[in-house]
Amino acid sequence: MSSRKSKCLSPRVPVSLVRSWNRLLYLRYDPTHAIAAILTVILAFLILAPIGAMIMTAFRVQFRDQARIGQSVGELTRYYFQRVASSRVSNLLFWTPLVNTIAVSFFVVAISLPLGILIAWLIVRTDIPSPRWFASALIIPYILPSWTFALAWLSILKNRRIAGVAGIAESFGFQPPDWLAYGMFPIVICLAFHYFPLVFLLFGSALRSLNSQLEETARILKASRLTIIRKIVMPLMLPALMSAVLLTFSRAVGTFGTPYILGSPVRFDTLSTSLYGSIRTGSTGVAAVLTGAMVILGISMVLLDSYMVREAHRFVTIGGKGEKRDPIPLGKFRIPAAVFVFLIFLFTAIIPVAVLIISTLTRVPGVFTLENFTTEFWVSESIRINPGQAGLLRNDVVLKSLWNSLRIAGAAALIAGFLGTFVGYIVAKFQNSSVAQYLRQVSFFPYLVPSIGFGAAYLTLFAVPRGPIPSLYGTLLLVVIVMSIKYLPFASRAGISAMMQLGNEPEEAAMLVGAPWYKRLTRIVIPIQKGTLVMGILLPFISGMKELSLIVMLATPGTEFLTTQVLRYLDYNYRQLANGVTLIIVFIVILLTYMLQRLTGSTLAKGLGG
Amino acid sequence: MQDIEFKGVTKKYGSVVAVDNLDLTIPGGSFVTLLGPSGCGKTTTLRMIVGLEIPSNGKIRLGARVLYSSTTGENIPPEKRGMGLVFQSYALWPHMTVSQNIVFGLQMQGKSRAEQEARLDELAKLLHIDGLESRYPLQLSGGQQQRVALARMLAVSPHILLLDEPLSNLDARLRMEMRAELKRLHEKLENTIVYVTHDQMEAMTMASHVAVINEGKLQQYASPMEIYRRPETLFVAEFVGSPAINCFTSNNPISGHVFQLIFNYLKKMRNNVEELSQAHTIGVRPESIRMVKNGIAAPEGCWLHEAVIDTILPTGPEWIVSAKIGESLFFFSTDTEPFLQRNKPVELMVFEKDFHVFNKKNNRIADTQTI
Repeated sequence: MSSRKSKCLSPRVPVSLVRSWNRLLYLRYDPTHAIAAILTVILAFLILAPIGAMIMTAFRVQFRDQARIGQSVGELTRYYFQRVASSRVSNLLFWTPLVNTIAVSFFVVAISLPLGILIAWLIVRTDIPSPRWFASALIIPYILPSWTFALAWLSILKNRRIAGVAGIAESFGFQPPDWLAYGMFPIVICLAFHYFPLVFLLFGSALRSLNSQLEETARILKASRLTIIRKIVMPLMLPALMSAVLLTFSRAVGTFGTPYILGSPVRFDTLSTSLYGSIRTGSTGVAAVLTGAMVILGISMVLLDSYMVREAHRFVTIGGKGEKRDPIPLGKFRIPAAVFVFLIFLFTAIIPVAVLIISTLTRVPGVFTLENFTTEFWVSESIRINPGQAGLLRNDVVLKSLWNSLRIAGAAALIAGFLGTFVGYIVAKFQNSSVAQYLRQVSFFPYLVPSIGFGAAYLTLFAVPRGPIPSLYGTLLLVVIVMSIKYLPFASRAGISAMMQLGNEPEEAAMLVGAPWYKRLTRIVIPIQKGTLVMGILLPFISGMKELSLIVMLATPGTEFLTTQVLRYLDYNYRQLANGVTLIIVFIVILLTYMLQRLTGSTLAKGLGG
Repeated sequence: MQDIEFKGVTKKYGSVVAVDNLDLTIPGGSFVTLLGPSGCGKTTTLRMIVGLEIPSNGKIRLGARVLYSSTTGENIPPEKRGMGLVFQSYALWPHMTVSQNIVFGLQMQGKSRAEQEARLDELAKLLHIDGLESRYPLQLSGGQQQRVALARMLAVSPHILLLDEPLSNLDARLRMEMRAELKRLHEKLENTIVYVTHDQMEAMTMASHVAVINEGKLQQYASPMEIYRRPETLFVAEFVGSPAINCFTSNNPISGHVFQLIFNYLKKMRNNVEELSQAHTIGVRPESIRMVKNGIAAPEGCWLHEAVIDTILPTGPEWIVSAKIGESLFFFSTDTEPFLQRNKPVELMVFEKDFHVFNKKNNRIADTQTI
């Protein structure tokens, strides 16, 4: 074709130009190159630029610090690093929060790991009753917004240190000590309650996919049960185990809601709350350095993790069909084991939600007389103890933030889902090319940055006009962009693996029968990938509805979301209202998860306890 | 050498019957293949021998020793049965090197390091995997992995070696080499081998006995040639042989016509008319159908009929020809180049003894003597 075209042009036109022209013409038939180029630019601008801007901020003098530093705006400075690392306030700003963060994350792992492993083993390998039910029930703590537990904890164990209605314990005449009510201890417990399902999921699915023949072979060769566990199972499970450890650790590092709610009454700061404080007081330079520290912590965890996952892959790919095997009989421990697992479910899912529900229905917590019950927190026009506030269901602020949450989470999920699918499409098309490498890696990059730091980076970049783009601070658009980019890694990972699995042949077949590109896309590729796309949209939507860390710094009084509204109410000490808004989120999230399950026939717990 | 004996063994998964009332004796020192389509219960049978699967009912014995009995509740666990099993997936431990994989069983027996080394050397030479000892399984080719899996089991010198489709992941050439190798190995080691496969070629080439299983039921248990020459059920006739046997069924609107032609001929030729009247399906193997050249007289007593050539498919060593009598299509093979072309009539001939007759229950009707 190109030779025929070149004849049409003057012979004096250089060959290279002809070649470029013909290639450009070919885009009519196959615009994938153009899409690749567009994606490359979008990702560069939305992922690399904010990170770059944040790094720059850490090194350059900010407007408000000119006088203090004695340099003018934009000049290079080490001031912010010194302030964070070695000044009078650096203990307060950085070192103590760093130690706290690491300690909290360490203990969260130390609790959720054995718990998750034990439950995974019980459900996957033993004859515990109704494993399927347990497998899906125990995902619920992970589906709930992470700070649900913190609010429930306070509703029960709050003492007089902070204002607002008393805790339930106090109504029973017990004044909880500070260490029990606030700080490290409750934060660790609440986060462990939230994150142990992650260990259970990762370890459980690895345990399930472990080829049973590997153990059977050892058994035939007269290895004892203990030897099999020691020499076959443990070495093979180690990568999955490490992966679970690192993931839980890095999630715990990046979390904001729980340490904010339970830590601030006793000034217990983690890196994320310290970062929040810095941004709120306008110390963007310091915030940038703190974000950098979190990013480094996050990246090292994730790199270690991906190394482990690769190791794990090396192990499980051999004939890995997890065959049906006889469950290990628990004998007389069968019922106690089931009771134990059910109690875990009770404490990590039912009780927290129930406590929140009861707290929004009673005026004085812990008093269960009929006149103490009230529906005013939900439906009254003006709540007596929270002057000026209407009940949640007729409260304009709440309804507006609900609408905002739905809008931004919906828009972000759609963008992330489609962007991820396109990334997958292009990566599968240009396998092993540098474009594919770039897209694959850069689209994964947001995963490395803890949410709160990611929000901070966007704030740094878009708080002021940049080139043709006006200042986006305080707009919903900014939140939509941040959220869709933050969730892109999940969507693009799913997209890449789905497209790789499908291969190019179905589309090539359509090409040969003469379908133009858009028809191939709409009639072949997208219908085949429908399931992946639905997952790639619904999962981010669910996460978006309960997202706090990412958007806590981007919300302004005009643009509140359900999650940030929880914090506002807490700041005012309107505890019932905070609990009520959380319940609305819980309700929506569980509803969506149920819908996802019905729609795609799959759950997070799929393959476990079956 | 001890026999393995199944007596009325049944294995159910819920309501699904995987193995149905199996009676089978595997003589010590023999090479027995369990042959059948996927899901027929052959792997379950193998796993019951080694003890990884516990029967729902029946009795399994090894010589005088009871391995399992549903009446007494006796059950010897796999680690006490002293058998070797090579899985279809090989199940090599990916985190151990080749040598670690192979000596694992010896370590479990508490053998000294020197003994382990000696046995490793011996097996590596025997199975041509010397030089690979320090590699990890994933660094090996499929054929090498297969040999390592075999070496791992042979290391503990089991009297009974069980193989679950061990060659199915190999390419055709390697498969042929390994067949020869396994047969040689069996002759050298003189142990009992039970071999599961769905590949009839594999079963035919290696085994001293073939047990054909379908839907959990034993169809026929005999020597390979017996299985081929005298299939006891229609299933065996159709499952063994490539190209497959031609079948003509009495009530089939297309092939019923040919059935009738052959049936009338057999009634004249055979003396068991009463049994023969039960005939429902008649089978003829492709190589039993021969073309008769013009002017050459066919032997006395042969079934002769004219057919029309449909297509000719050369395979190299032979030609597979499809032909039609009426609308009924069938195949025959010939090792001389067919002298006729498409749509041309041809005279075909079949010896009386080459017809396999089955009744309505798909069981063979005895041939008896010809008149």
